[in-house]
Amino acid sequence: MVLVIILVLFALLAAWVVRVAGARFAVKRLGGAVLILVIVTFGTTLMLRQVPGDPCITALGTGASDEAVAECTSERGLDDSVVEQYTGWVGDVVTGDLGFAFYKNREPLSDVLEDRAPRTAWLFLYSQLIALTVAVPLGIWAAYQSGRAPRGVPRWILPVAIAALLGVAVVGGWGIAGILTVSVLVPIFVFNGIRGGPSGDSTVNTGAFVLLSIPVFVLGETLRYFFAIKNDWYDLVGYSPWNEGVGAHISSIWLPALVLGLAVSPVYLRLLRADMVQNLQQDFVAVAKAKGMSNRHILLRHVLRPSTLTLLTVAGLNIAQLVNGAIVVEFIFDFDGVGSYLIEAVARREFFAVQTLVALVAVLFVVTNTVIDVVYTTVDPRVRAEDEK
Amino acid sequence: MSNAAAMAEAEAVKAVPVGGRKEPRNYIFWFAVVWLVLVLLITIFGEWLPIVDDPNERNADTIKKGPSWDNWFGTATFGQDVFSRVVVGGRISLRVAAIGTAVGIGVGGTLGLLAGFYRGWVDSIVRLIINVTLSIPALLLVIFIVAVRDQSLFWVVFAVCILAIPALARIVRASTLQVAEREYVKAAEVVGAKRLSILFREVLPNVMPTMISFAFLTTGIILVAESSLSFLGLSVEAPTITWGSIIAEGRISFQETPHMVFLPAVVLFLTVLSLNFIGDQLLKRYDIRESAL
Amino acid sequence: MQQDRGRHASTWMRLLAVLMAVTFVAAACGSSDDGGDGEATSEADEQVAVDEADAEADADVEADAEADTDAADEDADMASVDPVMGGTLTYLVEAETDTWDIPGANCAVSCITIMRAVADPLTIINSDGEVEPFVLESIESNADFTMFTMTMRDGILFHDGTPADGAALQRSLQEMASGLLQGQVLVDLVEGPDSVVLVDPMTVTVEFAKPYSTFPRVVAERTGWLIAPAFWDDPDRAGALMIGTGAFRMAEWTRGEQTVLERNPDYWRTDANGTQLPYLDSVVFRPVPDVSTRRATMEAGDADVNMDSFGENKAFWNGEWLDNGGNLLVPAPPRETTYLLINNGAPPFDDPDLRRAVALCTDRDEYLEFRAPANQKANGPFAEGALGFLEDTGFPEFDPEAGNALLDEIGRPELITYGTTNVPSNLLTAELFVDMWTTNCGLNVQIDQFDQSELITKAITGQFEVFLWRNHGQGNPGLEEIWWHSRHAEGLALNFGRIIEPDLDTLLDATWTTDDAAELDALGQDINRLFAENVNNLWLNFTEWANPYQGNVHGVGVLTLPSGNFAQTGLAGRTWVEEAWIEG
Repeated sequence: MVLVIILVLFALLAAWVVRVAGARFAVKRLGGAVLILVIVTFGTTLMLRQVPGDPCITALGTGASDEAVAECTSERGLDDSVVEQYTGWVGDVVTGDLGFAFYKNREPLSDVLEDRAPRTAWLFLYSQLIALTVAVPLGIWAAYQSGRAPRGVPRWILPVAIAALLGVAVVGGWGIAGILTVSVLVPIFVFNGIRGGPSGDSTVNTGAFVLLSIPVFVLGETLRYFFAIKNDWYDLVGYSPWNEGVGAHISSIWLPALVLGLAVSPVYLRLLRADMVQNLQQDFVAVAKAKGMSNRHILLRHVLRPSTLTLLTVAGLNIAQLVNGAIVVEFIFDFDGVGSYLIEAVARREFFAVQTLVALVAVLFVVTNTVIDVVYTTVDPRVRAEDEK
Repeated sequence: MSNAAAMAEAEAVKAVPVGGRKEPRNYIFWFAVVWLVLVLLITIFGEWLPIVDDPNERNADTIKKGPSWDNWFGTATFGQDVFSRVVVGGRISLRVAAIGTAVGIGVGGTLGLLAGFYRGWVDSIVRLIINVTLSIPALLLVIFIVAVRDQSLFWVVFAVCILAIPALARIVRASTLQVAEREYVKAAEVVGAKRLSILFREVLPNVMPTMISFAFLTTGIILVAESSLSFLGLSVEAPTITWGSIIAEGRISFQETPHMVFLPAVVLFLTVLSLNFIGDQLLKRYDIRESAL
Repeated sequence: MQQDRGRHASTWMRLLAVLMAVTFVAAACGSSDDGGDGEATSEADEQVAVDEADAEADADVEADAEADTDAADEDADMASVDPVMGGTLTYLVEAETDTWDIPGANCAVSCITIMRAVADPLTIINSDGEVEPFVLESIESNADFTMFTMTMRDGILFHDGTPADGAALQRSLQEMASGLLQGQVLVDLVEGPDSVVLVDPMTVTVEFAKPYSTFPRVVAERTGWLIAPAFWDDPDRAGALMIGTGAFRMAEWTRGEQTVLERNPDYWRTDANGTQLPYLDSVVFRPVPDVSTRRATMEAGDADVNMDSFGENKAFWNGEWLDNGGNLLVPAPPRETTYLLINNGAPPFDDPDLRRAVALCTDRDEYLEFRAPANQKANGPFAEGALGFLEDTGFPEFDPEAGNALLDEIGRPELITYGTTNVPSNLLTAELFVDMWTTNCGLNVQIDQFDQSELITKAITGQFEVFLWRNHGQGNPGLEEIWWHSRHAEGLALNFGRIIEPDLDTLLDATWTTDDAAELDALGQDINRLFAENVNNLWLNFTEWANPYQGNVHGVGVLTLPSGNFAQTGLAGRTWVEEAWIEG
């Protein structure tokens, strides 16, 4: 059902692109995407055959009877050629049969997804919102500040500050948190100090840089420690859906979403800042300025607006980041979404479920990016012309 | 405010390069380099250094102790010295990252270079390879490969190579396309130099800076990917130590061994930060715009 | 003018930045202090830990007093404070249950915990270790323990409203007898399931071909759960919800996430004041395989009851947890034994000399120190306080020289495969043993990692060489027959270790002919010595299960029997929630 809707929407999109940009362009863009989809999904099927030994035996586990293995082998098309196996799989998936994981009494994967995909989707949505709330204002501010002269910080501040930090640390005990905080703060401080003071731009930029270098699992583990264990501000009780009340819903998801949001925000931040700085150097800004428009007006209307499209493109690319992050975050917070299901399935050697999941994520990723890309290029004739060259 | 002043200010905005007015003295760059060299030296020489003990030596008297003078990073579940484990684990983590990057440069770089230089069908194929590989999120791809095969060092390295190749190929291709448009390449073509010699003498040297800059960034990405994999319990199996596996072990009894989570994480973080920073600085120095690629 | 103000602003910014940095660090150090204290307590070895805990308590009189009253309260408030009705209890279990189809299911501790709340057993072991009828009105045996007569209690209803009468009891026992695993428990029925006979609407008899004195104990769990005919009739019962007569009915079962039980308003029992049981509205069981996550969830107060067999955590639950006002169930004396389960039926461990050599190469004290501090070393399967316990059984002690000598004589096997689940803490234990055997005796050992769900399957099918196991916490040697007798060693076997020792069979048969404690104790000691001699398993320690629960939760582990006695509070991590209630 869902699939039919998606197909119809896709057809509508294709029709729209053909109308606006012509058939040739549509075929080139959409055809390329379809080709990639076919190769990726075929690749996952091919990988499935690379399991040492018989994937069916491994997936069914030690107690499997020969009949069960034989049934699995023929059902999964492992005794056919790769192509037949693949077409069989595509047929199944298109008709909505996503297969199942053996260990859960053959619970259909479609049921699992129906149950869990909304959770991961909410997680994505909230984390994107958090990322944008963090990135957009800071990005604007940083871009605005980038033109300012750096502020000289007296040299002696740095050693004094570090000595003070060390003093506090030694007196208060070298706690783990202290070390971590210091190791995050000191580079920022040092960097800023040397770059010419805590001007908005370099502070934000360095902050983004540091955040970008912290692996998601370190960030997640740290925040879990402080918010869920040290302080009881987050309940490790699993996800509550909307119908259990807004409060329960938000309080069951805010921390994982925050971790994921923080993890993806530097990408937006850095991009937005770079894009806006570039826009600021355009002639129309100078003209606007010359006309006596206020800084605020220029920033928001003339500089930020062209950047939103770029932001949209990055949002598409960021899905990969989100998926990577979600796998780790759901693992850390014991959050029963698609990511934790994936890890479970991998641990149980449920190759078929894993393969289908990987293929579906790839499909989602490619389709989203194609839609964004096509919309973007169709809307903006300059890009299209560039492409035609 | 007069119009003239506004114009002047606008000019000033225009003139300021990205990231600061005057090139500051780059202490932080050298800090990053020193840190990396230090990490490399210590992990390479490892047990030969007096500060590093046998990472597997059990000691019942020091089970899960916090940092102390004898054990800088505290001790692990079996009383092993965590610092020594970080050193020895770093060797594997860094080796995986280095091999991944090397293969990425070798294979991915070549593909990108050929695609960007020859265009046409070569380019189409390489672009397809890149797009196909990049259409599966990195961690998911690595997990899939390791799950399907097994969690041996070989397959972990293989998986991160698959990660590095398309990433570098994409960058090198874009850079090659740019370089190939430049006047001196065109000039060489006009003069009638051989295609292959143009590729190696004109294009490659000019693509190199981009490649090297991104090699640093890629190494950082692989380090994070491998340690994430270890953290999820899907990387190289015990008793092989990696940074990720130390952190994962510390997580088992987190309340008693936060030092096993945070200290290796800090080392990992600083290393990744240094790699990112060096890569970023190189990009700036060679005036390569990420957004242009 | 403007320029001046700008300078001022920037000075402010600088100051602010420095201030913030200092605050951050100060805050971080403040919180790390607390962590430091906790670390000291749990890190130090047992003796020191106790001392420190005492010192801490002395210093902090207030907290001490609080903790004391709490502990004292726990006993008192059972009698004096009226239980609060309603509320939801969140119970963390270590594993998901894949099916409720008990006759063929590998129902382990997590499954049993849930089943106990949903289905009533025929009998229950009371706090003195004696059997009492529970859902049965009575259970009688003939003189030689071959024939048992069971009478159902009147007026008990299953959750679906059908009566739990003799016919239902007959059906339940017959289904158990036909099951793949439970069938082995009832293997001696004279004519299989047909020997379960309905003599009148409320009475059932069973007849065995040989004496089975432990039968009344056997039906105190698994085999004895009374399950509704509607469940047995379900064509898809492997995936169906359990229907029993218990205090709670199963309302929802989302695999891997939660099992939700709701109050059974028609439950047949009331408390001493005549209040309808149970007190709770619902119980939510959440499977959380990671022991550290379970602990963190409890510490954060996000769950009410937990199960933990992780030796390393013992000091924490007994110390910090209690000090902070938490509760800990006091379990019954019989405990499970943690041991390395050895496959005696396949190479390389079918050679008793190799088993002995490996035992000689295993430093069990080191294992205890690292993996189970504060746990008691086991030299046999029966724990202190259970029948058959022996301090010294003659089990080989650590002696690498003797081990090496023996290995030199019989030759070292090419490869030993140590199996382990991929749970991180079990992997660490695996690492320890592999390292011990490699360094002490030059054995070539590899680790085979698999998922938790594979463990029991591998055991039943005998596809393993050696792995970590825990079992034998029943307190009565007769109940262990199924795990050790050679007649259960074929095919899908419950004698996982494929132990075939005629002497052992004789001793086990003897345990079924008596219910006299002294006799059973003597037989158990003989079994103990025999095991030590043959090294069929590598005993490690008596498992200290902890069932911690929150300070505001009461009545966990309490089950008042119809006779007025109490049931055994908890055994091997399983306990009762029938009479649990939550304060406030």
